[in-house]
Amino acid sequence: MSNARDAILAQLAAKRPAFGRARRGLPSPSMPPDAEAVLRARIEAAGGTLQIVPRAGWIERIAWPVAEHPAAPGRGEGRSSPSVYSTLPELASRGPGADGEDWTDGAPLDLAVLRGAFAVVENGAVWQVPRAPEERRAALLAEHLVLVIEGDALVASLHQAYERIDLATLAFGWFLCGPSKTADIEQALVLGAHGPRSLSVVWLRDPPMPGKGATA
Amino acid sequence: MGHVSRARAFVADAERTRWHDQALWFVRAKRDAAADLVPDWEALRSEAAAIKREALERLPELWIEFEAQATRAGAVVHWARDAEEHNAIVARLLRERGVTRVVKSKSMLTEECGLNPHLERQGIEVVDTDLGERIVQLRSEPPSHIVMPAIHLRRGEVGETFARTMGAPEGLDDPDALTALARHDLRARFLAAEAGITGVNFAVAETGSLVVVSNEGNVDLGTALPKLHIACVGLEKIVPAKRDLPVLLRLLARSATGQAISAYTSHFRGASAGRELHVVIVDNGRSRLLAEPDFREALACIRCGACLNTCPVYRRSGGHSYGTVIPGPIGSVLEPARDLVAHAELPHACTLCGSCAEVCPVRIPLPQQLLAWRGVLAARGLHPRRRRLALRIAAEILSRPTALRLVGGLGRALARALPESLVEQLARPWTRERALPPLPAASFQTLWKRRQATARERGLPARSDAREGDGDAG
Repeated sequence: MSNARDAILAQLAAKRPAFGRARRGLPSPSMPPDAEAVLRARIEAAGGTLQIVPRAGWIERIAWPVAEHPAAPGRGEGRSSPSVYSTLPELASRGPGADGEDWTDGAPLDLAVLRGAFAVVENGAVWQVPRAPEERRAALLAEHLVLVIEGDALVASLHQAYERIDLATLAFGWFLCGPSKTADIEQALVLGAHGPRSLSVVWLRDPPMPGKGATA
Repeated sequence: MGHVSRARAFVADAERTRWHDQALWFVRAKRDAAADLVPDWEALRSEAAAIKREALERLPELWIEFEAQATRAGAVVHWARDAEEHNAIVARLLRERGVTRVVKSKSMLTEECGLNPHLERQGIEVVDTDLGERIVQLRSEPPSHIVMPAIHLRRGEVGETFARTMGAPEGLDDPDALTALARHDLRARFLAAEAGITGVNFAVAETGSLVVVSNEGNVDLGTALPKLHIACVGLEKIVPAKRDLPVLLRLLARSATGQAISAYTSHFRGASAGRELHVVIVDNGRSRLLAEPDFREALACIRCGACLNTCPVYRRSGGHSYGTVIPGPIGSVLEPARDLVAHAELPHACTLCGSCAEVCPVRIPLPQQLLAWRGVLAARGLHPRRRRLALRIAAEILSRPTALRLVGGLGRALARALPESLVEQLARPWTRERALPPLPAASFQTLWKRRQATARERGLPARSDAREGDGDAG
């Protein structure tokens, strides 16, 4: 089809328009003083939740979206303990599909716990780069998704977000904002269209040291 | 059959029309609320407008750069001059790999090319996975909106469709339950699919990346599970560089649904081990439109649907009334460029209210373009005979003051003399849904002269008196 290519490119070159509408550039939005509150509002508007906890013992501190605690001692392979895919060393994967094969209705994945890179205050999205193909599949096939961000974890807007992303070397990466959703039936919002029914952003942030200012 | 007769079929259901109108206006209101939260919204629109126009000025260079970058990353780039070439490329890729089950996420381009029927004729099953698109696919209907494909349907109709095609219980019309059924049905199809076809929101020349957004996660399930990803992209979807993405993405979801960002914004570059990414770049009339100074800015469109949601004609006539792949104001500009005779009514499916231009995130001058199409229609003699005649008569009268006075006086006299029902009959179709206002006793000119005379008698400056008075009456 190289002739199609050349024909199209020749057409485009022959019909090149000139609009003369110059870019002016935009000031990048600055971090709002109430960044934490704005981020929480945006995540909740998208149907997600934000939990901010100290790093130590966070697995015990946060509210999990599954009935049984994902780190509770297993009760065999029964359905009472949730199946988990986790990329965080402090939480073990377990249950069907933990070996990276695809989860199906026969072998459902209850929970995926993945590391996110940072959150975008203006829209509540978390930038996430899966390190392996099954990590991306887990993020989609799990009933519930937990994204864990840590440290210098907030940017004001998408402008600053893309400054932190190296697209030229990135095979795949995504902004995730709230759970999968649809409003295609009479505009009624339904969470859990094809992917997770819930998304919880967990921000591991230690309280400020005595004598230092707040870090939010 | 044109827009007017198809719209008549839609508005015959008054309750549906009212719901449709209000549902879309609600989306418009959500767009406004989202825009209000962005302090530099208008500057953002101007920047996006400049980015998309710069891209249109540099299309050959940008696509060559994209091709080089994407190829370096392991993607295979294909070029298609028209729908037939596009469909043939996709079909060949699938056939060569023995693929018979395909999941597709929303892509107006593949709708435009008629990809589904083409593949189905070759024994390949194509499942549309966006819920709205799945619903209309099961009903053998086209989408009626570019972002909300099933917005013309009520929940009961979706329930009936699912009862007929998915074994849903009769009478089920709860959106949660219906969505759960579709989720279960489609999850199995995602897992069984051998290829995923997607559209593209933005192709980045600088890096060879593709950006695709969705709310349901269907784009991602359809590309994360099968080993083959075919991305179909129109020539107008290219942007120069990474720095352009935040500008456009900050506008897209807010303009479309009032969300700050879609649930999934995925960036693809090349193919990873054991997987394939094919990019099919499609012209299909776009380069021809690029040569039309009055209409080519429509190629800046990012398919947010804001112009549909705000359009008083679209909201009240429904997407199917346009008889095109893309309805609404932007469709009424784009589709006549493909076939002016077939879509000759569309430039008139517009009140020139200007609302679409107010919300367009890339500042496409839609009202001016629709007006320009009317000029083209007139120049080519494509207006209906009655309209041509009416316009010719109007031109004759309006260009002769004496004739205007005569006809005006005659009209006012007749309107008073004839029975009201007959007057209404003569004023159809204007009076189908409205009453005629009472006609003034005298012409505007007479009123004006009288007013000037009164002003002179009182010794007042005539002009300022006129400005304070009801100068626009008559």
